[in-house]
Amino acid sequence: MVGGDAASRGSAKEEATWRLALPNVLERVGEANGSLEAFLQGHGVTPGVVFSVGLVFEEVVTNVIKYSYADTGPHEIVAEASIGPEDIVLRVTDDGRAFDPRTAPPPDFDLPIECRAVGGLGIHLVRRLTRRVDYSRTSGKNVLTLFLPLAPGETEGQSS
Amino acid sequence: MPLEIDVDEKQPGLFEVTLDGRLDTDTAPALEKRIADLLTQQVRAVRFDMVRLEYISSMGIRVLFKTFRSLREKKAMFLMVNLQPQIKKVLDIAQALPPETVFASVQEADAYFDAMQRKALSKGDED
Repeated sequence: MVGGDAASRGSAKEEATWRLALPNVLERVGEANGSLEAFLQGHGVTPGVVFSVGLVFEEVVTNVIKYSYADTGPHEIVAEASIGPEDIVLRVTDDGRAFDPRTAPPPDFDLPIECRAVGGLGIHLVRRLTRRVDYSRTSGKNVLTLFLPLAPGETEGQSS
Repeated sequence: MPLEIDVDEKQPGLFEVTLDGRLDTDTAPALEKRIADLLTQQVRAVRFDMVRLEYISSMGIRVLFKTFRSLREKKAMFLMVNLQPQIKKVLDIAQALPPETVFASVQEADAYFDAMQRKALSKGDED
């Protein structure tokens, strides 16, 4: 079982929400992703969208864990998801150093992957799978809010 | 969910690596280790069968790319078959691996492998 707050399943009329506090430990990300995916599947979200939300969650949280902290101490990352009428809204809050991933340069595709900037591939995937990303620095915390369309084919990530 | 990795030598030097499950932050290190062990042998090609791979993240893509690069240095082939649509989509977005390494079926990948082997063998005659 994953620690932190359990997923809450409201009635059909209420907005379905999920919240999880997880430690800055890479080995816990897969488990947290499983909890998020179970919440989405439980609300009838289509497999393709579940896949995209899970991937965006993993990329954001692993980047926070790997690059956000100046110290090696324990930190708490709070992840929240809600299912809106048009989007899945995913919010990740961490107390690491200020970082707005929207300002990260896009990967240089002429370079082999290992020469590209650290975390760049993950941020690239996040950009391409989201419709919109908001960022704020609030009370010493990074708050990243990501919008993924419920209907497929609405992001530039939909190729071919 | 874990990742199951099966390695099977289908022809001399042609190794099939079957991935079943999720290739993510948790499981990528295990695949990296299996590939490192595999590459100590005489390898002419590694064919990844991904029919049961359900998920891949940037950590998984990095391991695939490192494998591709190591094989290229050995003048060996890197082949991927049976990609599920969501896996193909992520690999397309990542632009980390050449599209010509993706084959629709094992038969297509094997035909390519056989053709490249014949080409290598006959190279001496052509020159």
